[in-house]
Amino acid sequence: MQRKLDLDQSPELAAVLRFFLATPLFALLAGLLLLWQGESAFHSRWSPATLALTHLFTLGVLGMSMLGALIQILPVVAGCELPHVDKMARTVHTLLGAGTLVLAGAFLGSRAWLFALAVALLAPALLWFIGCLAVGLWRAVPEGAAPMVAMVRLALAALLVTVVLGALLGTALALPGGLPLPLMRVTDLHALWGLFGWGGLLLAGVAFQVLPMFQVTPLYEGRLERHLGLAVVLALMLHVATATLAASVLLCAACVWFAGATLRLLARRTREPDAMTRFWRLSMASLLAAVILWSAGQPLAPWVLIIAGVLFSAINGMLYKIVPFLLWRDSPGQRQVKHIIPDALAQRQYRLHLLALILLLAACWYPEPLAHAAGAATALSALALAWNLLRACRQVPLKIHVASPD
Amino acid sequence: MNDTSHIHHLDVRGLEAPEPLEKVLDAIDLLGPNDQLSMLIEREPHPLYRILANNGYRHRTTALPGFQYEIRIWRTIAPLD
Repeated sequence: MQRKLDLDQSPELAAVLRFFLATPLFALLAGLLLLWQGESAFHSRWSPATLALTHLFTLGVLGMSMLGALIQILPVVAGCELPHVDKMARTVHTLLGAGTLVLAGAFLGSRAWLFALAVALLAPALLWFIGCLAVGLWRAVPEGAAPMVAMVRLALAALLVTVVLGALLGTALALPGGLPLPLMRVTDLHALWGLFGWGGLLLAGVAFQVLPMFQVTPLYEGRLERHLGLAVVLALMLHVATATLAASVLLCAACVWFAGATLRLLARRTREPDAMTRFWRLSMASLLAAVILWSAGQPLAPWVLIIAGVLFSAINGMLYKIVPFLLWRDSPGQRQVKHIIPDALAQRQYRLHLLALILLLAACWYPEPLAHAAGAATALSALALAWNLLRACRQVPLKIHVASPD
Repeated sequence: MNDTSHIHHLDVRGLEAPEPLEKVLDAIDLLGPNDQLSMLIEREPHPLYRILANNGYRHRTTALPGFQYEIRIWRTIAPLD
């Protein structure tokens, strides 16, 4: 008998695969932008090239994968029923992709109307996504998925704060002088809630669920699962209340706690490290390095590490597990999941990613000789990731290739 | 139809996801009408329960010491040829 998996609550393959395939394309764009702009992207946090590059990464690279992963994982792991999930996924993907490109163009060209257009594309997309997941997460979830879901709920709340602050900033830039905002202060809060609240909490929540499954590690300790999310949210609230020192100490402590626990779990893995192991080790090492550089008062390097080192590394590693599983699930009779993307190919791309990260970090101190090389390495790593994912898609007789438009 | 019943054993402890899912789906394909599959796993496989229910199988879960579980699986509808 031919196996036919009926995962009735899962969204259709095309709905989520489009998010994962967009990730390397935006990474490629980010690399090419850096190759073009060079050292100007490292002169300050506020230069147009830096802001365009940052949003290509946070919305295009990280955002695409994080949204796609949640749309995929929540129905499967937590049994959540997301209303109109396929339609939501298609629309949000289109608006997010277009909005990210427009926003990057707005920063590079300093055009007020482009900021207005970017807000009009991004805010509805992200609010629809948040609303859809909030409905799905309303109901009780299986006990085993509770730690992950608790973190996802906090991460979604943080995403809402990030989107509201981002929409306010975009509106202020679209209407110069029309919306008096303390731009630097709001930008700091927007970045902190986005990277540590939305990105960090989601990363930790997903790690609670998937590291024991995919890396065959022991479970995280219950104390960490229960208290990490609250510690991060408290730290972010203290930032809002301008208790900056207490907030920073608490946030750094939470990061070190999570990174230390994750590295200890990965060290207890008995098998040979695969590409995902290496990506996650790099992610956690980047988190510890970011804490050290932040404590030392470095202005740019901690942010580069958080975006390209912590979040992108973990996501890149996860793509090598999620995409083959989705392809296998939709192709009855397909060979074993682990053979769909050979680990040797993934490990080769890991080395390119590591080179790109080292160059990006070093360019914070030596922008003139290294910025272009960092851009080239980022683009090269993105191309290798795209190649590995597309190669897997081509090998599998996907239903989406022959599906009718309805 | 075969009236004899068998309990088949499957130990997926220590395997990386989604190998446990791959193995259990292969194993339940081969179950006879009166057979049962006894699977040992390190965490409760909630996604598997929905797959089983959607595909004509029932299950019973027993929690064992050390966060391990035994899942008994059997058919509720006859297999297709």
